[in-house]
Amino acid sequence: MNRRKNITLYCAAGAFLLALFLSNIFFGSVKIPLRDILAILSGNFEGRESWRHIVLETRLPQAVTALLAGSSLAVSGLMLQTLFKNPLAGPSILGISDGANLGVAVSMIYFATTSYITTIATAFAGAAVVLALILWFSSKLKNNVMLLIVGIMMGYLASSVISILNFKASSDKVHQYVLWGMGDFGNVSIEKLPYFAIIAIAGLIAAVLLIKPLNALLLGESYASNLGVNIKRSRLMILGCTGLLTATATAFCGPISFIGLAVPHIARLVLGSSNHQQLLPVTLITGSCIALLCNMLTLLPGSNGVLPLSAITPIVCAPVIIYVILNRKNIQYFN
Amino acid sequence: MTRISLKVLVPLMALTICSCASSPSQEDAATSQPDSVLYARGFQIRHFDEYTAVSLRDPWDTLKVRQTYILVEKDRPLPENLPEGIVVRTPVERAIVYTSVHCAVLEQLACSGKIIGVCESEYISSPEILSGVASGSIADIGLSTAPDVEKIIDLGAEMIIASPFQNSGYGAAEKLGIPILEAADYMENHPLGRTEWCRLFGLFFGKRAEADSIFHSTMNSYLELKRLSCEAAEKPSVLLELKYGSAWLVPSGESYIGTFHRDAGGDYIFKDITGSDNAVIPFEKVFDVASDADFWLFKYASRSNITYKDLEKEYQPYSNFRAFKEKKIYVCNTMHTSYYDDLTIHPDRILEDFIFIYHPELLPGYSPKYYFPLQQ
Repeated sequence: MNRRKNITLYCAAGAFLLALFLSNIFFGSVKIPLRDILAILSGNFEGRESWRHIVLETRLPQAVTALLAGSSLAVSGLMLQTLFKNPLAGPSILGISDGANLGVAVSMIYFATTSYITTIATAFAGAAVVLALILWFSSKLKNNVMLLIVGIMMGYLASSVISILNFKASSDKVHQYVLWGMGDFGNVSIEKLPYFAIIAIAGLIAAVLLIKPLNALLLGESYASNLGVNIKRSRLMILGCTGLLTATATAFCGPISFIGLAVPHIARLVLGSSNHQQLLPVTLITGSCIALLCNMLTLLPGSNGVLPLSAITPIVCAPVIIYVILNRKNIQYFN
Repeated sequence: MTRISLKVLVPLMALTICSCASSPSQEDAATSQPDSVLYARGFQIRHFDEYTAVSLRDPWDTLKVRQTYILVEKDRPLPENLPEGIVVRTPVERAIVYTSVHCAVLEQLACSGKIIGVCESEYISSPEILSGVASGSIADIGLSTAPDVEKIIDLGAEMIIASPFQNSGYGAAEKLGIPILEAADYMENHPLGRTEWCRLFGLFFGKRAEADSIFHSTMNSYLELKRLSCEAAEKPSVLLELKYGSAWLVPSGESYIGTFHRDAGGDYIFKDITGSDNAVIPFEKVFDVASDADFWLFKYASRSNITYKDLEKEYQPYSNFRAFKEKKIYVCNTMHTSYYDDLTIHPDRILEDFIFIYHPELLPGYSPKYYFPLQQ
């Protein structure tokens, strides 16, 4: 019975994901008839050349990026919430995304570079430096709460350096940096998509391989040790995996808030279980669904404008967090 | 008949008596001379016998007057019953200038010696002002958004020239009692409207005749070039600027940028967008409308010049534009040209560049100054 319920749930989630993915390709600011989009996708299109470019080189990579970035952030949020036993932990909590922000701020504001490649490289470098520090601290600090506090402090340090850089910068540079900070799934072109996809998929596979230690950690570190789980190694691997997923998503798409924090809660509410064997795949699919939904909502209906992604994700996800906090006692996984 | 005449005459006489006992301001109005402002929409000038009144219109709420300045010459005694406004004694001899654009205007008016303080000197290109900063005769008072108030007080400035932004003030600097000239020239929708602001600067710095001469010389040159571009048989279509973040910031057709390209004989693709500000348009919409544009022009600020390869690396869909394929992209690196310094006083020179790009046959032997073909 339970298995049948799970299969139904996976099928429904998969169908919802497919519907959202196709909606991202079918709808955009330019109205292209459905028949033409299908012809473009099947390679038999002989109409306006610009439409072919829009569908294949703009909408398709954007939808794939949203799909992968959403799942990456959601999965890393789930792993961090389990590791730190803190329902409000998320990818930004360890300062990794702040590290990426700092890298970009230094390149855009201090070195005045506008190249997207440099932006990705510096975001990755910033995130990697913070991740390396976190891993180093994790070998020194045995207590997860202390490690969490160190992560938050590093985030604050990065933010204050960014504030100083912004304060000293000219308005156009600040504007450029602010735009990057708003997040955008459309930044990853079809050429760069393979690089992004390979790293993100590798991180997601690593996360799936960590299901067993994650489940063991739910029982507490001493129980997990008794079950034969190497706590130190598992912690290092979970941190490395979440760091890789967050750094990749932030470097390619800019900082995207709330997905990593809220999606694991949505998945738990849907599933009613904390078992990572079901929770991790559902979180992965839900993360993709939310990201694709937010990407669609960035296009203001009936106008020419586009809304920043970072403004949309909290609108979709923040009510979930509030619901979780208000119903803390009634939700099974908190008890 | 007599009764009718009386009925008309009595109220007329009453009106005449009332008008004879009019207020002093109405009396002044009778002796004032409005200075004809030809292109600028942001200010009005009225010359009176003892003073000059300058009113600045709020660029974001055109029905409002943002500021009124009453200019009284220093060698005259301060008149009594001056109208409401900020009194400035002219010519101003000690000024703090927040932006490099306004420094360039004062330099053209031969008033750079009156600049005693600047903000963000790293963005100033004028060698004269930079050497002043280096020698200490001109103070760098820090950021225009948060200037060093103690330094402003210490400098003893008579006036501050700043660029206003919507819904923001000037912090502690506006509480010092030093008149702040809110120069919103960048909100003008005609290039010559921006130039005309130099006439306003001329009034403050006692260079009225020089400023008028500079304006008229630029205006004549601009209009001559505009007439030349009218001779072109075809108007090539043009796309402007680049994608920023998730969208393209497109200058409106009514902005001074839109006017520039229209006057240069170009057919700006987004000419129908109204307003003075940029419009935010999704990339795919821009691509759908402008993928076949004949030319693509954009500005950027970078220490190194970019190439077609860099542009493609930046965002691969850029390479699908016709202008990219046919190598008809022209760029202005604002870090290596004096584009922003010349924008206010010499829009004619910038217009010349645009005409040369769209209609090279009209300007044989011309060498561009700001916009160059994007390197391969």
